[in-house]
Amino acid sequence: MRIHYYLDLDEKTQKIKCRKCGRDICHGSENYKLHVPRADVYPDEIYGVRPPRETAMVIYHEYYCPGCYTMLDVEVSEPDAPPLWDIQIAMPKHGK
Amino acid sequence: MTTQIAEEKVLYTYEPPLEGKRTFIGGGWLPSREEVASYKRLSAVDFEILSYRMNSIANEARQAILRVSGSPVVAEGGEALFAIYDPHGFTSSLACGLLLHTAGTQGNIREVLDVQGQSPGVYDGDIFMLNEPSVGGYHACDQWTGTPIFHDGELIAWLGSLTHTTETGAIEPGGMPASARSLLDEGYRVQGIKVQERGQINRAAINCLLRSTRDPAYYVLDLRARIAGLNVAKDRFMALIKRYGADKVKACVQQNIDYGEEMARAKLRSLADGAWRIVGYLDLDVGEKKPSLIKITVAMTKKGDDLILDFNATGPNPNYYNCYISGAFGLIYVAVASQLFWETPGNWGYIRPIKAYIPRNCCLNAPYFTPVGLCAAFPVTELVTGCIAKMLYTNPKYWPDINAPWQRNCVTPMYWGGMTQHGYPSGSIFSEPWAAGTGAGIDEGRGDGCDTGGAMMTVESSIADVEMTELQGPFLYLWRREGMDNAGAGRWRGGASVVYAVMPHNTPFVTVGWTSMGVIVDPTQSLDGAYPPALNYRGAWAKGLNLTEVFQKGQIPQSVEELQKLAQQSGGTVDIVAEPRSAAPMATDRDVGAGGFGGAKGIGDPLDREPERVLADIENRIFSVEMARRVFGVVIDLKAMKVDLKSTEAARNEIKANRRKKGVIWEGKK
Repeated sequence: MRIHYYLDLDEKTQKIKCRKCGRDICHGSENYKLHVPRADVYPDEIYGVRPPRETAMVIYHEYYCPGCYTMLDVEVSEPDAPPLWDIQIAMPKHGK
Repeated sequence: MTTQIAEEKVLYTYEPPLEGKRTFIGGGWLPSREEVASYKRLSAVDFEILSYRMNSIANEARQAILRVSGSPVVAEGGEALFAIYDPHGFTSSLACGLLLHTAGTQGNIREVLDVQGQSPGVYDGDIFMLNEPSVGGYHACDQWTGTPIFHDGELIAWLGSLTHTTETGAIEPGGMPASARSLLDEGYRVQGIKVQERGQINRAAINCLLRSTRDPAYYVLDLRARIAGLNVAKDRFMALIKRYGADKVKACVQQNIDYGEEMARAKLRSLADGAWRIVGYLDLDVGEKKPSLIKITVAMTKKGDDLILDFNATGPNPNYYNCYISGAFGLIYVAVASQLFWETPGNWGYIRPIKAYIPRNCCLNAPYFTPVGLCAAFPVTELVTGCIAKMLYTNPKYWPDINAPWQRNCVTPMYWGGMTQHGYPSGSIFSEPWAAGTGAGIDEGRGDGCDTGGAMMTVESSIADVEMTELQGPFLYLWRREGMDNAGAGRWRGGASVVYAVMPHNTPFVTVGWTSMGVIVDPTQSLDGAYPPALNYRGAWAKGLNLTEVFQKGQIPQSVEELQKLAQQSGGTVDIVAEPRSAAPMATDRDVGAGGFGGAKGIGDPLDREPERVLADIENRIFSVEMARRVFGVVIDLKAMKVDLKSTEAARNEIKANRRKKGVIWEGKK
């Protein structure tokens, strides 16, 4: 099952995997963002009209596929914000 | 997996219990809800014919509104709605420019029945008017008129029309005053007076309104437009009853709602169960204080054929970026109607599967008297749109429908009031918010967003060209164009939004104010690896420029930088501001106001965008060469205006290498 532009939930293995490189990322019942590299980026590092670093109240948390380093998400939030569990598919209960 | 809802939150989506009895309301009997729900269902053929006719009636009535009103907001922006409701006020058929108000206007009918049902009563030929934001609209500009339909001594339906009427007699002209610090600052609020009683226009009631606005000319046109819509629809509705009989028409009004619910629930069942979450932020009036974050989060849980939206939000804001709970639900409805249930007939039926929980006393559920002039929380629509897009991935059938959120905070930054060049007082908002970018799709759908495609809350909006706008109001445009580098950069990019600058012309007196929004923080994000669009532009306020001399040379300034250069050369000032600016007088031919919007959200990693598409973006002035190189990793041979493939590969490898260097697994707060 597709769950994202770049991510599938393999219904056999119940793993979330990258659609581009096939890399298994984590079990479908977990927040994939806890299992992929994240970089904290000030908005003004990205070209365009962005909040300047001195006054930026939020930053960009970039998440990458650990296999092909495709950018999976750019989360806008406070600097210390934990990874948001933005996609949580209901998984079948174990043993069924 | 469940969503735990805190007890202090308010559940907005509800239907009162069916019990109750018939009530006499003056002009006839109001049937109980149980009675209404038990109307015999129509055959499939009868239902198809009658529901189509009702939909046509609503659309014809809305067209009547658009053609009678001369207001640019209504006639061009499309901010007019017409609805047919059941006897208790639940929407059955809808013709809608303003998705925002579809559910919200229902509160108006309940208010009329509650407050006036027994005294003075509700009669055939009455037309009620409300614009109380805490009851049924969003802000005081949302003006609704409604009329009951009786047949054989029984109330069988309501008809309602709504326009965004800009001048509300508020503390500033133009309807959405930046300086409002209370609902009391936002103009007159009408609580259900009868502008027509038993078929007779009530001139005293109408004069109360006309004498409370700075712009009686446009005001009365909007009011007459709404009444025209009601008259057209009532004629058609009565003809429908005559032809098919009241029992079938009454049954169809209910069956429409049930059918909408059935379609909505069927679609929900075809999607995976799960929860999707997203975070957004609001600007606030910074004034002299240090700004702080106003944060909104939403968790959307879909289980079976139910959808639960659980909001957390801070606030209320000290200024007008708030809404009452009916407004918050309207913002949710914009996303649900346009992104999830777009193929379902627009009515109360597809609201039934949705439950929205919103905390008390936040910016989305503000305490009474909180100012709400500028619609708090357009990010709500964007956040829900983002959640819906994520959910739609779970069924390939809906991949073509996936759509990133549209332009951020699609609200006007500038509004004006004063004397027109034609010699009458007027006031309004500038119409550029309807030239906002639309969100990106994916490979199987629309791909890139549409540049200056429209406002999400008014999906069929358009704006008049510059010449028509200059004819209507006392302004000349220095520029209006798609802004460069403001679209969300991604594999599929968001649509670019408009930038513009105006100067007063040929007017003895005019004021211009600026509401500001989305210029300090990124309100919401793009999807699946795309960057957020640029911030909305800060306001540029030029004073005392010698523009006449510049025009005489055949030149027109084309950017804020050129205005600044002009000020340095020949006197004058240019202030760049992030905070809202109350309406202030502007001088004809010497002062300029300039602003613009960030574009819409993209989808996917910018490094996956084909270099040839990026080149086309440069040629179309959507992205700059610098943006192409630094964000998309696309290097252009400027002499040949071709993609330099070798340098592009190197630039993209460098960006990827940088990602490998910077990226680490999150291990908790440092």
